[in-house]
Amino acid sequence: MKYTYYPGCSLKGTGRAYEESLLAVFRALDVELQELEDWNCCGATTYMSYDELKSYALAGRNLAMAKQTGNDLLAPCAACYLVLNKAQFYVKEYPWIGDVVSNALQAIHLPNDIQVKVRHPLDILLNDVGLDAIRAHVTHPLKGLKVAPYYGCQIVRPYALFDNQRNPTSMDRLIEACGATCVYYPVKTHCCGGSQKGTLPEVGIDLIRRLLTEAARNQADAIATLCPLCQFNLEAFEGEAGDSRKFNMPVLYFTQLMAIAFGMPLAEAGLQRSFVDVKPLLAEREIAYA
Amino acid sequence: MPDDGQGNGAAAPKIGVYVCYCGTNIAATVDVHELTEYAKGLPDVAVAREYKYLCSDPGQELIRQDICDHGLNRIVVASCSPLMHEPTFRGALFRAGINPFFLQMVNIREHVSWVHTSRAAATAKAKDLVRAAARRVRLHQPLEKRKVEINPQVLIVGGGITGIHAALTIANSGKHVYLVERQPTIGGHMAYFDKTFPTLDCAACILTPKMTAVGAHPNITLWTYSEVAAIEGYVGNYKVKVRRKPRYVYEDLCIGCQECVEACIYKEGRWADEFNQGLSKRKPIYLPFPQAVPQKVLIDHDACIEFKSGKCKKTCVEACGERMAIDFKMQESIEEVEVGAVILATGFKTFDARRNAYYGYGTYPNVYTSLEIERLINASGPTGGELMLRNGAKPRMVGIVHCVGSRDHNTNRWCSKVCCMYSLKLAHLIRERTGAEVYNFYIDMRTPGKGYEEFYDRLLDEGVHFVRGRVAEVTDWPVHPSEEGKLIIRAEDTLAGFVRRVAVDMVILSVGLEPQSDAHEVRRLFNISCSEEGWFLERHPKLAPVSTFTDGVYIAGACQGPKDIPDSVAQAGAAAAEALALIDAKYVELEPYTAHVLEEACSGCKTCVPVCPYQAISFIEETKKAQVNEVLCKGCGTCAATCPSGSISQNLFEDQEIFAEVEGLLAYA
Amino acid sequence: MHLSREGFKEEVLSSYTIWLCTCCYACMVECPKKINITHLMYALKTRAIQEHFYPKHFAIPVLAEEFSRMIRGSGRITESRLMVMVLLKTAFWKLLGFGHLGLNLLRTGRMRFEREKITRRDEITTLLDSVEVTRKALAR
Repeated sequence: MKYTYYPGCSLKGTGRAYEESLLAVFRALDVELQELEDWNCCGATTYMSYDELKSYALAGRNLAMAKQTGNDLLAPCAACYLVLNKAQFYVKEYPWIGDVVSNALQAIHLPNDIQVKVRHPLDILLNDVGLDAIRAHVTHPLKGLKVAPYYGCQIVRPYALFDNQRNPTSMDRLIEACGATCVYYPVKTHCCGGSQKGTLPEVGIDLIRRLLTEAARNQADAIATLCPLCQFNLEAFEGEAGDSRKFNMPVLYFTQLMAIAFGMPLAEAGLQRSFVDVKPLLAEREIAYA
Repeated sequence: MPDDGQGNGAAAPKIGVYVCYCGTNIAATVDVHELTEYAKGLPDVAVAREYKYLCSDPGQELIRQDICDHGLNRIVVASCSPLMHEPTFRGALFRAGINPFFLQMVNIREHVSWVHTSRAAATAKAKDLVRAAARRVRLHQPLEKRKVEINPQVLIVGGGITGIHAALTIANSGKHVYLVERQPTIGGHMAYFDKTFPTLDCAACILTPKMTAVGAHPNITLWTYSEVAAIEGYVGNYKVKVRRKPRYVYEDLCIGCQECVEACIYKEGRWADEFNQGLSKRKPIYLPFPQAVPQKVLIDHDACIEFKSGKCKKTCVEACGERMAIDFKMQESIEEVEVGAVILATGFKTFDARRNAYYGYGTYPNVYTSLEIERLINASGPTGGELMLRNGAKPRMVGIVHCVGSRDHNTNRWCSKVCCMYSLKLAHLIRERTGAEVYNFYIDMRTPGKGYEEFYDRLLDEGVHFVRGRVAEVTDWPVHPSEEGKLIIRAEDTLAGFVRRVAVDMVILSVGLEPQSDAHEVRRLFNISCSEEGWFLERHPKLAPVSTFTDGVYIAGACQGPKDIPDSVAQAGAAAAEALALIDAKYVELEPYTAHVLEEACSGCKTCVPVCPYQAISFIEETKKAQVNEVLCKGCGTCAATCPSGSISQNLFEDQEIFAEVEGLLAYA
Repeated sequence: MHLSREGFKEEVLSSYTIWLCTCCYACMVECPKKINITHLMYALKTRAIQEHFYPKHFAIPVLAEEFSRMIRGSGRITESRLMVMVLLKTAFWKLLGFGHLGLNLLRTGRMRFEREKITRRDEITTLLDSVEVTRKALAR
């Protein structure tokens, strides 16, 4: 199994732990990843608000280059995943957008075919690798750990390509394959606010607070995420969001949970990068780790 | 001693009492076994049994068998309400060979078990009731249901789409129909419309074939320009007097060539053309509209000079020539017919928009009603299908105001059901034909029918503006120079959250539907009722929408309540089916619990005559006695109670029967 | 929706709603008329930014401008630099408040200051300029 890997800007910055744990886990599972050469920023939601047409062109460059590699494109960051998919669908649905992007790609000497299968790691892990293979790699099961599986918006809306739109369960099943239990988490697809905590803080904090409260109410020990911005929002503002209640909850990427379960040294899974240390929790639940 | 109903002379009463468990419906509260044992001890009771479900086949068989085995001649059934199963048990008696009216039912379910909680009290009450019934039933007389033959002809009043459809349905079944229409042509309101929603079929194109079929049908006698003057009788046997107003033109001679109209001494029309809603003028001699059925002209008595002065040149007669169809001496005539059933399909009238002064109808020239617009946009209308303002200019902005005279405690409280759809239809047609900006001002968008919501969707795509807010007023005072010379519609746009002023060239009021102005006179004529709002009253709003409380008289279409064409046609079919069901039964069985006058005792005081709600009592001059028409009598008992000399008796509710029941109730010990 | 459809430009563009929207697409999932609401929100945001319909020092348009500048210049976003630029241009005193968070990010190695950039940066500028050209051509 080989995929072209598109990290996106966040995975090189605040979301480093996601890349680290993802690469480690995929290596352990014998999945070959080749980083897309000279990839550019996809624009995420911010550029889309600035100039939608240009954001399709930006995505188009990545997709055209990825197409040339011949492999499916792995996009772990939820925003990149959405933008890359949206660009492909929109150029097909609105021919005039297709023309704009076509011209732009032509100007930089790239072929104008941007229809590439953009995959999310959850999709690959469940459907290509398979839960059995994953279970086979679990040496340090996360038994007793209660996790709230938080999906956020962008991998289920508006396109739910590999999971149920209103009640996705792919991450739930993956986490349980690692031995942990997923708690009932009705807000699993609520928006975390994205960049709003930075721009409209008094609004953004409410969204974050709701997510943390529901996790705590359902007795979750930790929250599992799959988007770097969600992870940042939930982790960085736990103190601010809590009032009388103190949310001292680790917020981990699902790949980090997998890495722990695979018996990898915590540093390989980027766990030293968390604001809330996960070791005390693991000790409390008597989960062995490398 | 009562007769046993089998002509065997007086025989001792042998009563069978049957108490039903009704599953747990009765048994849960009433001690059925105790009640049955008690019944065994009552005087003249030969047999008393309890059973789980008496209404079932084995239950009825039980009763029938007992009657045969024990020679029972009176039956008491203590079970549910007679409304549920009286016919069932009467049937059992009939099958056992005794008169079905030797039955008395005691309601120990709705009246005892379902309304009491104390077992002791309920059982005691049930015993009292059964005891009373046992005393009463001994006095029951054998009664026979009367059979009355049904005349297979049908009268249909109203020649709109509803009346037309009902007439064709019945005529096609081989029965004869008299279709009476007060306008000079059939077609009703549908003939005014340009297109119909949601398919945008041309109204005339789908209506006129049916109209022609009516005119040509061998089984339909079409009397236009006529009204029902009087009707008497009862179901299956109605005698109707139809007044035929004089056209002053012989229908069988006129060929509809309209040369007389051409030749009339008035070179131009001067009287408001009713068909075109007064937007154009007609002459005293005229054809109502080009596709009129019958295609005959008529003369307006109040307009024609000949009637005023007798000195007209009568160029019309000249033009008619050899056909000689015109006759100024024509008189109204009365036709008398006999029918078995009547269908009322008299339709509706539109709300008079002048009543809402704040919408400016009649004040501002460019405020129109929806019906007027239908005529304007219709190709055979006064402007040849061009939508134009009073001064001939083309409107560039049009406002359509929903709910005029509907959903309003000040005028009519009901929703007129069709206006949202026809407003959308007009919006579409206006937009399509003129490209004008169209604004619809609505409260709710009511589009429940088949294809209706999809039609609304379509309009949203066509760029019609929708403002959700009831229009407060239509005015002409401008606030801004751009508003000068225009009509301003003021409404709160509740979606936007503020009040808007929209300046338009033309305002269209979507007027609601109302009962005809003479609905109350008509309903009295046919002996039916109207609801509080004035629509004809159906027997049951859910389960009997086209029949009335008067057997043999049916209602269909908008006269029963506002509705669109598909529903009107459906009701027309329904009424036709019910009329045909009545006729095909060949005769009608009448319940025998009617009143009758004991002639010897009647003093001829006439107190009972006006008191009967069904006009069933008449005073016979020759004998000076009152007489009850048993066929019309519904057994309400009012006359029996009213008669000062007690000479009116009612079958099944005779004085002695009631006294016996009361004695039975009081004989506790 | 209704205000946009009826052309109430000022009311719409000065409304707070378009900034509150995070484009999470939750509305579109439920819309019975299948209206592309999020798409409209993006368009309104763009229009508001272009026509300067926002309060002074409002963070979102500043973020959008800085973001686009960074992409045009480098092809990728350096998060730390972006955050600092936006804070400086809107409410620089807030930088102080972010001290604790900044230290945490530094400590865990999640804040890097070296500029993330791609090799063929000229391709980005060519790409973006081409879009402008085609857009103008279509507008005619």
